[in-house]
Amino acid sequence: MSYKFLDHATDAIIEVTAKDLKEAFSVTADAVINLTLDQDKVEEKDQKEFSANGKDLRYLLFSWIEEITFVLITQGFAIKRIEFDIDEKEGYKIIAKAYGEPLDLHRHNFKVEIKAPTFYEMEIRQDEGVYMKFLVDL
Amino acid sequence: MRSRLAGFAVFSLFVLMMVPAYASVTSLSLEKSFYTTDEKFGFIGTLNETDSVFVIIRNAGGAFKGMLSDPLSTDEFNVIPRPVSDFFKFKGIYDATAFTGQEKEENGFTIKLEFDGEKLFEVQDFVLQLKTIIDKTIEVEKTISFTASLTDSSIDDAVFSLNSAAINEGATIDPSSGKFVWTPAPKHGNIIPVQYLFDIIVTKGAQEDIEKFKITVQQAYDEPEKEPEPEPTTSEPKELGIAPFVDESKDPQSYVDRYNTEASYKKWFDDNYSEYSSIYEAVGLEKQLEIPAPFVDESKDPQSYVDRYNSEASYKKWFDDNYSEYSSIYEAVGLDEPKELAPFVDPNLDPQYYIDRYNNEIIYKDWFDKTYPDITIYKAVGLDEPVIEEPEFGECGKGTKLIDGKCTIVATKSEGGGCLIATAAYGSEMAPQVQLLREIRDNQLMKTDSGVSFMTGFNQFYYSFSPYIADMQRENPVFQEVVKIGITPLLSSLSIMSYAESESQVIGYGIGVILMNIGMYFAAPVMLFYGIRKVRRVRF
Repeated sequence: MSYKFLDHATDAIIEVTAKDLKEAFSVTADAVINLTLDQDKVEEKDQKEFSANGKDLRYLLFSWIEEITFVLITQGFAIKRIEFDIDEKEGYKIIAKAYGEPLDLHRHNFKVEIKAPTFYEMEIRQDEGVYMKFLVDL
Repeated sequence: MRSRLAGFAVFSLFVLMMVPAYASVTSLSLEKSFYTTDEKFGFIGTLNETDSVFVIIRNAGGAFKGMLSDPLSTDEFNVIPRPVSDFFKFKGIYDATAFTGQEKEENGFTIKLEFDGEKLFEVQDFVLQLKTIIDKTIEVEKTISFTASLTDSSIDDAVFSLNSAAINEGATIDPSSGKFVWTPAPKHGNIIPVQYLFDIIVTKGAQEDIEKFKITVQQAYDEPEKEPEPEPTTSEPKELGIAPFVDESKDPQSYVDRYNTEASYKKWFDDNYSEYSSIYEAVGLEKQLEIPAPFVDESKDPQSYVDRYNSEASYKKWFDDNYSEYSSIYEAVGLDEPKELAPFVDPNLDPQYYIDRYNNEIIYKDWFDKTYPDITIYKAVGLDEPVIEEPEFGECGKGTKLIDGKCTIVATKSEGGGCLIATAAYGSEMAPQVQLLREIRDNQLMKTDSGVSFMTGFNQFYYSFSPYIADMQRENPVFQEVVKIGITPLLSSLSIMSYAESESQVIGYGIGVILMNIGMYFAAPVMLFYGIRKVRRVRF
């Protein structure tokens, strides 16, 4: 299970490999959080519930990144970790609970605001494991 | 002294070197004057050094409501827009504080925002108000100009505009300076002073102020001298001739045009020259109806005006009040008047059908003449009256026809009428059911003596009421359906008659059909009624 940032001039391309879908989405969340701030500097003092959904995995991934960004930036909640389940029933749905604390720009070393996820260069493969690649607009 | 100055300079340089220079935000505002809840909103502003900029929004109690940012700004910043609805759920005043990555939030630049449930806008720390503009007077074709100004002269970037009435009169205003200019045209003048009302509007952000003022255009024309009132006479009314105020060297139409376009001129004329039936008579013009009427847009379907007239009471009243010179809305829009049909006429049927019946069926003719004594059958069905050319030598008698200049006896064939009730029920005399009845009558009954006798007696009875039933069917579709259902068994039983070919068969089948119908329409319902009563008595 890992993620890496690929070189890109203005945006961020993230590549994720995981053993299954749930782990892939968990790694994606870590990548998005660490793109925005230093996750290891966040303490678990509070929690926030949120959800994401999509008619297929691509839309689910888009919604997942969008919701995490919303919690981080708009709601100003620095996330340490996320607990979640993926339901597949007429599409996909994730019910999640984020643990963390109110965002402190300096203490959490806020790096950059993610403008929006995109479908551009998005790739999801499920063979023996799961491979996902996506681009976020910064 | 020099040593003191040198010491101060060294100290200042030391202070400058020791105190770090931070990037800081120097201005902040919403990018647009306001945002609605379905929009994304953003901030713009300036900073004094390149850095990232954050804008944090808090409510009046200081609770965090959201953050926006511009990752890297030079001297101006522009944050990533976000939906209004994500940040603002409740009405109220909010603080938006912008600060750089090197600053703390408390050292940032704060502005106040207001969310009223529908719109988000900046709370201004000023009141936008126009100074009072006093009413003005001007002559026709002279220019009036002044500059509208604000009570608070420190406000920049206010935008000035005029209401549509002022723009229509030809007035202008400079949006940034507020300079108002108007030159009344000759049409703005009259035989009395005329007042025009204008609005100057100023806006900045979400604030707006309107200042109303009046410009009076001085009397531009002399009132035509009025002739002394003529002595009342008992003699025959004589022609009034051209009114005294009319300058015959001028185009008389110009008086008509003024009358139609200037309310004050119209009033003056109506008050002083009421003896003339119209301005046309006063200026010696024949009143010509303009067709289509001036209000008609010829690019539109004229029928749309007729439809509005027929469906909107207010439109009808407006037309009747203002265009009484037209005999009808049809004339005003240039359409032919529709011909009014008598109530019994089905517009879907060929009018000739009624003419033929009138000419061939005595009972039908009697009914029509009694019911509609004031109109002819042609008028009733919307046809022009036929032109009857009188023969030079007279008229041939009944049962004779002019052949080769002689009145010759001709054999006539009675075609008979149709079944009015069935025709009205099925909507057309071409309906298969109606044709079946006609075929039975013509092919079976009318070929035998007993059939002819029966039909004669039956017609006498049938045509005494059938036109009324047929009219009711056309007026009431539900009744039409009821009749259709009701006569279906009758039509089915009558189809047996098509097998009758001889006199005896017609009588036999005819009696059979009559008995069958008596059974279906009278005996069966009576038996059913008594049967139900009997069952109820047994049970209770």
